[in-house]
Amino acid sequence: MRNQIITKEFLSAMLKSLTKDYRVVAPVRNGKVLEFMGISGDTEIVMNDEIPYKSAKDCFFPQVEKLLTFKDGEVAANINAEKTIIFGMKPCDAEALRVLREVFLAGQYQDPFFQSHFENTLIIAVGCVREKPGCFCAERGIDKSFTDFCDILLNDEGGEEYTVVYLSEKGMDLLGRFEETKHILPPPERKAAETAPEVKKVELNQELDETAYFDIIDWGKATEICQGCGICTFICPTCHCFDLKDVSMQGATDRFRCWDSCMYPKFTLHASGHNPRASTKERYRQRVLHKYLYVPQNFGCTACTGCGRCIRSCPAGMSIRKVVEEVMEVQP
Amino acid sequence: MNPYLPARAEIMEVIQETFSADLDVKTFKLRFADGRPMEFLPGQFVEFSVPGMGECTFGFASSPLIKDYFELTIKRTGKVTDAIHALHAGDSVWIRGPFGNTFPLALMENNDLFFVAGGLGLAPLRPFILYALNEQNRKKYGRMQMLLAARTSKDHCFAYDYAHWRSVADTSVDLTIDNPEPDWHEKVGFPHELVKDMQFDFSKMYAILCGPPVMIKAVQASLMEMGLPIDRLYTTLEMRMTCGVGKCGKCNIGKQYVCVDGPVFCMAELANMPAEY
Repeated sequence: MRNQIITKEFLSAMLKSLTKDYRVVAPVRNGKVLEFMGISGDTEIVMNDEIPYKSAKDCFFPQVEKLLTFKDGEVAANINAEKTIIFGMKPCDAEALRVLREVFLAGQYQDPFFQSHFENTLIIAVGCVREKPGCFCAERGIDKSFTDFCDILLNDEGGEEYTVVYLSEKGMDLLGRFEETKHILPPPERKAAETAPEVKKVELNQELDETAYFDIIDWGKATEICQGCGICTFICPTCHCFDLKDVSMQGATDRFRCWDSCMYPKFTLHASGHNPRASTKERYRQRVLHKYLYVPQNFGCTACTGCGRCIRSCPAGMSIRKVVEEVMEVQP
Repeated sequence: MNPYLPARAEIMEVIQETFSADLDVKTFKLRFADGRPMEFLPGQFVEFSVPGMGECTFGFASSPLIKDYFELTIKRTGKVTDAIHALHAGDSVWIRGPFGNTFPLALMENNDLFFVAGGLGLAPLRPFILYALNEQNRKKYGRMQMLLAARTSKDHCFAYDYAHWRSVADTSVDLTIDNPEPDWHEKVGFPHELVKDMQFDFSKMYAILCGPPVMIKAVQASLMEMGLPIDRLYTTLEMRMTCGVGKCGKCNIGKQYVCVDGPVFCMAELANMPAEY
């Protein structure tokens, strides 16, 4: 394996040299918070085992993105994603992108804005050394040290070095540009048994009809401490609901796509005043069932990768894992 | 194709539909500025933009057989619809679509059709009614009955259509209002009560309902009690929508998205979905 290794010092220099040709996004300390941010030559890239507060979802589906501009009787779409390299996505975040790809690119309509970001981005994922409080990726069937939904995968060797493999042609081409990495190989074939230790998975029974889950537990009791603040949806790597908002200035109107949240009352409020999901109970149930039942039924993947962000960030101490486990105890 | 990109359309005519002080419904007749045809099927909808004010979802209200213009019937009820109602013939707006599924026109051939509409609920049914009443299509369907309800005599939409609809063979139009009024010679009362006095052949009939949820539920209950099987009842759902293309998540009910899997649903389908609408 010796020849599959690079030093963190070299990687940092490599990423900085790539800023000439790419927008390079990496974990950077922003005050107390570790965030994915664009780097420049003098940025300090954080290369420890911490998980950034937000996922790198913004790089594919920005929190606020200008989609259209109306001006002088014409309308134009702003599809101009920069060539981007993201360093430091954890396997849970890379796997979450699999869900976003299905939502935005599968089916009858393709989202050209997401597609442009997705196709212009190269992902350098980094395996986790250990689980953080709230993490449950193993229970979600994800290997904390491996994902193939990336172009290059690194694993921290516990010091100043990473082991490196490439998972795509894009990854191979990038490594081929540097003398120090052009010999790097793809991973040896893995046996499923080696990477899937026997853990009880957190998942719902896909065979059941969705109506069966509506009263399967006391959702009101399960959600009585929820404040409805929506932070869980904003920091979630798979949440993808959005709103469109217009802003007019100097004779032109820009139409922005902004993250929205199923935890907010207005999300489903009809113009008539009727609201199909009138209280937190219905809204939280929607969040759980959408992630664990509807997305799996529609796309064959679960919209929760066990990254634990919603559990760590909830001001009330809600845990989606505990709620799903409560349902699992009583589901047929 | 970018499904978020609208095309410019021009308002050709604005028609006032209702005349009560507290209800303002207008029909907007539109055509694309570049002359392209609007190809759609009954039940489908568009996203209608007034840049700066926002975008709203409206079902087609005109005949799908007419390609060079289309009509949308809109109740003034919020920020975007206030802005739309302030527009006049000659003004420009932005339209994307058509989106959504359609009433099963072929499945319903050789059957009687019973349309029940409450107020503005007639708008999304009108494309199907006009399609079926067309000379070429009328013989494909059996008896056509329409029961059109409104709160008062001032609130029936498309009142200018009724004389023509009534003139077509084997076609009836019953109008009703909630309470008696002087000079009102049509029916009085709620549709779920009135259907009980109507004659149907449930072995070869489809009922298509649209209106306030409370009306839809009550009429469905009456018809099923009288013997209409649930798979012969259809409706079109209203949900808050943003994208219209199954991405934004707002109109999600169970695993269905009303914008792409609907808005037209068979009641038998709805019975197996969570009642979150």
